[in-house]
Amino acid sequence: MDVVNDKPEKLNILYLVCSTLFRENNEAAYTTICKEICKELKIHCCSIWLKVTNGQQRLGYFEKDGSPDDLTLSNLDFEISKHIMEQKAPVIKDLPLKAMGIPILYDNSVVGSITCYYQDRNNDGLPEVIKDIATELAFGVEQFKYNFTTARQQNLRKELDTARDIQQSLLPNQMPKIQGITLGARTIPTHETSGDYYDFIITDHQNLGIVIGDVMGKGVPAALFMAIARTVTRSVVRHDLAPNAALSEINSSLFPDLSTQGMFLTMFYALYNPLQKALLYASAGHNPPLILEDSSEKISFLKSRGIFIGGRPKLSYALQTRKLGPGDIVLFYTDGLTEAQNFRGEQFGIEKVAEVLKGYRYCEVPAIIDCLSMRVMQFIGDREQSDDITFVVLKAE
Amino acid sequence: MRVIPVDKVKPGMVTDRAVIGPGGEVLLSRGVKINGYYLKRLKEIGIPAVYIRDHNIGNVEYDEVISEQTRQEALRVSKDVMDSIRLSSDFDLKKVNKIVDELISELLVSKDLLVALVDMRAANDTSFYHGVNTTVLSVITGIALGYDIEKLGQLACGALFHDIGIIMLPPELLKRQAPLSAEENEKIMKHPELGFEILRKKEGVSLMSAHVALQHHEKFDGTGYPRGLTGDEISEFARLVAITAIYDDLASVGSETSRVLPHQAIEYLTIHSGKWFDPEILQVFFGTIAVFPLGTPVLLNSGETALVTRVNKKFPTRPVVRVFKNRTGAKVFPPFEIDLAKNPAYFIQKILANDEP
Repeated sequence: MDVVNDKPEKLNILYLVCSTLFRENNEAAYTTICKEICKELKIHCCSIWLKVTNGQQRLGYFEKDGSPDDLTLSNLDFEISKHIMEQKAPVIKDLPLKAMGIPILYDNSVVGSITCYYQDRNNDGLPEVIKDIATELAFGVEQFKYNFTTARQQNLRKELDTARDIQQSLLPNQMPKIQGITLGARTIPTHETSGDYYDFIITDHQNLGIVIGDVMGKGVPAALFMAIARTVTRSVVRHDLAPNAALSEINSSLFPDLSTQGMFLTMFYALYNPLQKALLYASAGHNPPLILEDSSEKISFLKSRGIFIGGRPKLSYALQTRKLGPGDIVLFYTDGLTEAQNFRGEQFGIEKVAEVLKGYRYCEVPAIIDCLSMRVMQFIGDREQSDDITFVVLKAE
Repeated sequence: MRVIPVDKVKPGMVTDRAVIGPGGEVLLSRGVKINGYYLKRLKEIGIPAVYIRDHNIGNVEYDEVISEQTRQEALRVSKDVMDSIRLSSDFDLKKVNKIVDELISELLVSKDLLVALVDMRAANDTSFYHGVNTTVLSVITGIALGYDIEKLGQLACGALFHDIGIIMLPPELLKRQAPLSAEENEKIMKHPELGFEILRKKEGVSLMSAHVALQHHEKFDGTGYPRGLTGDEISEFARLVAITAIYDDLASVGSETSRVLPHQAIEYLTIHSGKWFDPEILQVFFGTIAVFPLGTPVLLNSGETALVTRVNKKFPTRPVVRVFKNRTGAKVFPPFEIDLAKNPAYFIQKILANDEP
């Protein structure tokens, strides 16, 4: 029964993985590999996944007698593979079937996962085989992403992808819980890295700092400055500095580096005080956030004058205050939202944004975010999105 | 389960939900293979779209908020009531009460469900189908508002017959396509009062129910008819039915292109909140409908194409979706599901047209 320790079988399957991927590196090949693994190792099901920015893509899947009428295993497999890639660790589980999966590593980073599902089988030796298969798969899975590019482009793309992954990981992945308000945020990135960013900081006095910024320009330089701006901003605002003073400070810190590169960034910084239910804010040339008053349904803007960061060595900003009433909604955004274009070259525009916000004002924050992003993507249609779209929604209770 | 416009339906496809005709009768039950004859009939009757089973995507389990049988019975009773009023200006209240009780008890059982399917019907359909749908939506909203059984009964009866006055109008007027003359319009605007008279005179019908017929075209800001009442002057039941009746018209009636998707209906109703509709009732109503009905094909931000297979009451815009095409458009077989409520990195980017099976 124990075929795994049987050397010829093991060599067989490794040869097969290697030769299949040598011929072609596509989904069909991975499905074939899964099928052969099931056959050779006498297991019920096998899957191979690729890790992508913010998600995962199924490369291959085979399930004995699998049919769309029973998706139990196929559904479970999504969650298990996610778990493996997130935890960067193997998973062994006793489900109705036994599951064993491991991350596929390339250059010490997770590029995918492979999982086997089997019934009442002595799994002696299986982990070793799966590990060998994963090693054999690693290069192919890594290459899959860059299938249609030349070797030189591949290296470039890979570095850009890494930059983008790092950049995405710099955005908060969890919303802070603050009494009296709910928060949500979304970034819809383009294929390139860019300089959009937002951040939430709980200050020393338990106030909430909300930052949204946009580094002018694209690509790696913008992403680098975004990372620097984030670090500087975090350390500056932590001590409950008034937003106007904070922006001056951030400008002074960043100006030398920005000016030598001829770069600049716009930034809006708001400090929310949960006790007074008020926003203190200042703007460094950033689009004024939109506020929808629940009681009057009136739309207004959190306007504040100020020059973008990197404009001059010393800058001062105006401080503004705004009290929030129950049900009020504030939308912070970058110009990617309002300047999103459809195939006719028309812009989505602030009026449309305001209209959508009004139309979903009774919804909870996650639903407002989902509906607004769907409306703007529906508007863009088949045209390629040219700029990152980033927005933060705050709703007062 | 996919919603397929009738002009895209091909013989051999299998229904995944009963198709109801203009008289409330079952044209095709669930699981029927459509042949050329059926297809011709569907087109003649003007059914805009049907739910089709898709073998590549697999079976979608779903619970209706009311059973098909009860829906049928409600349609039949409504039809009988209308026929009987036309002939004798009277109707059998016992039958009405029985079906209303049945509807309420089923809806109380399914109170954790969302209205997750769309009842597609032809634009020239008779009004009792609209009455039954409006009743279902109204009772669910009433339950969410915490109404007791008695109040639910009054609400249901009012919702079922909110448009009953229409049968007193000349039939040729109703068949006319717009635009109507000012005089004709004035006649149509009489239907709330005509309906009120019928219900008010009927012994055993609560005056609360009769007022739904009288006031369902009143608007929250006083710009409605017949009396131009504002806010609390309009009965709560009528304020509720004003919302559910419009929602049903928006979401159910017409062709695939003219029908409005739930998220669009929510936007539309919210824009008129406080003007036409009571904001508080509106918010409660939104908690009862699925933003993405079952069977809606969507494009995820990952580039994958998926189908909505389960709705999530707590996160209405984050249903469970079944991925059936990858980002290159190649078939994913067997498909797999992603629970959007548990996977915040994924979201619905676009709703796709119900074009291809």
